[in-house]
Amino acid sequence: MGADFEDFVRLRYAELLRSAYLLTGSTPAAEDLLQSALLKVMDRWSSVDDPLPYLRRAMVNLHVSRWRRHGRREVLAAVLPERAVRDATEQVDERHAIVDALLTLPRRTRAVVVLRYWDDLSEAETAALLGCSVGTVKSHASRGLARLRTAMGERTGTP
Amino acid sequence: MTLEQDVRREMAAAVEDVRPGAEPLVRLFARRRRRRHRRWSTAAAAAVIAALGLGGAVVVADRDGRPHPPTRADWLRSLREAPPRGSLADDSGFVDTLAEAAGGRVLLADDVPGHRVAVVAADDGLRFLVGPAGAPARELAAVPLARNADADPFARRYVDGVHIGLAPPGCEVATAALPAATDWRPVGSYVVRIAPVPQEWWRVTCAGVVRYEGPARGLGRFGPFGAPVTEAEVGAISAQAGQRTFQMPPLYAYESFATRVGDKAVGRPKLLFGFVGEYAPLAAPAVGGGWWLQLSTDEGPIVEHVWKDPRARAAVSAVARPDGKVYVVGSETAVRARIRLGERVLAEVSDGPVGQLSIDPATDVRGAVVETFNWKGALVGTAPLDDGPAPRDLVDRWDG
Repeated sequence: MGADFEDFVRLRYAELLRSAYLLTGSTPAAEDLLQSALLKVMDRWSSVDDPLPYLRRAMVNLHVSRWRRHGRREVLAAVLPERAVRDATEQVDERHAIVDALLTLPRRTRAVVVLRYWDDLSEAETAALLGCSVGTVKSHASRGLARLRTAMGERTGTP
Repeated sequence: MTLEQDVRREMAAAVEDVRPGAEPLVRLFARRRRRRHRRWSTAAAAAVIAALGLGGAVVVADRDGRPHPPTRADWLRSLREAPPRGSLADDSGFVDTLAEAAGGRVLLADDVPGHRVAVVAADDGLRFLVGPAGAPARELAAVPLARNADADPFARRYVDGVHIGLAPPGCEVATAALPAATDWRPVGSYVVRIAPVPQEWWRVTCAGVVRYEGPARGLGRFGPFGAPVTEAEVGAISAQAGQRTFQMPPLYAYESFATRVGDKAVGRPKLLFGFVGEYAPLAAPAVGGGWWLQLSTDEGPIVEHVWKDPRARAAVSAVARPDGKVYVVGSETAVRARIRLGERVLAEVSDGPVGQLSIDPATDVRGAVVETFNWKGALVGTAPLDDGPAPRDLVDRWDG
């Protein structure tokens, strides 16, 4: 492990945190998810050939797993960045419209949407990462986008 | 724009402000240690709370009775279960009504000029309540909430012109005014500042150990001295850019800079000469000396500390990344850059005043220098590739 792992974390942490944020909908939960995934990976780091997909898979699996769905988690160790001065509720609502919409999706569908449209994975890569068929990915992506269109349209008042 | 593009754009906007907490690696290793030592007994947890509540003993025992230093979780528990503090703490009628109305445990209830403030520990985190002077408990509980997921034992929040910092009981908060931020003055176990808030750093010491030290507002979208970013500042950066264009508007570069180090700078950032990258390169003088330098990289803007003034005539500044990429900003006359270690040239590039070079990531860059040359081939600037760490940075140390 050692420096190699530490360099990977320094280099990729922010990027992975953003993916985790889209999966979970909050920064503390995203830090929790990412750190949990890193904990899993760090113990077998020497045997991991390509850590980025491995990390993504670990995050998605943790996110989808029943254990996490039931809300059990370790006490967060995150230091939260304070937000801007403006705490107005409407600004928070605006900022998180897509996140709120994502949270309405089933977790596996949400994972497909994030992997496809945020992490920019192909359908085949997404299928390989999730351990399902390309057809399943297409189906989840299609349903997810349709739900997002509806949810986002309702929030903005557009059809 | 297609729905897919729309979703991508909305996602990008949603994560724009998502930033890692301080020292992810430190927290990760601490978490691994905790995982190995976890499963505290109820008795040990109670002992922890009692010990921390008294503020003296900070070594606690695990289920086997072995001494064990407190973790961040222990400090958080200590904060959340502390008795009320503040000038209204002894007003049991007020505290009880507020607790009932706000749905949690009152940690702080205080009167400051022009405001009545409170902090309540609820199930979903800490609630920071700021109301008018003399506000009854129910009115205070009804104000729009500012929440903080309580992952930080030194809870801090800026709400409606009032800045509150609440440390675990028994710890001592001290403040020090900028620009030096070295003259520490103890203020108790919490601090409340009202607008215009002083430009200062805050420090928390528990049983002689500095657990937290940083700019009063912590991380946030603030300019130098903790002042909110103004349109005028962004306009000034745009004006400096002149005819130069960047893929991202100067506002984004400015906000990125302000978010990361705005309150650790003692001057407003200015634009550097340079073209490469999506974001405008910026630099501002740092608290404690040196400069904060923001450059655009393949992973977005990064901020690093350098000692030499990047805005000086014939200056050159460089930032080396763990993947071996080196970003160089030179002066207006520099058209070529190289990295040299002794007599050996590690990398060389000639693409104008800002360059991106690559070296072997395993290279020990101590002793390496960056040099820039003008179109005649004459040396115009030189600087060490790694000129040492920043003199002042955030301390956030609650484990161990």
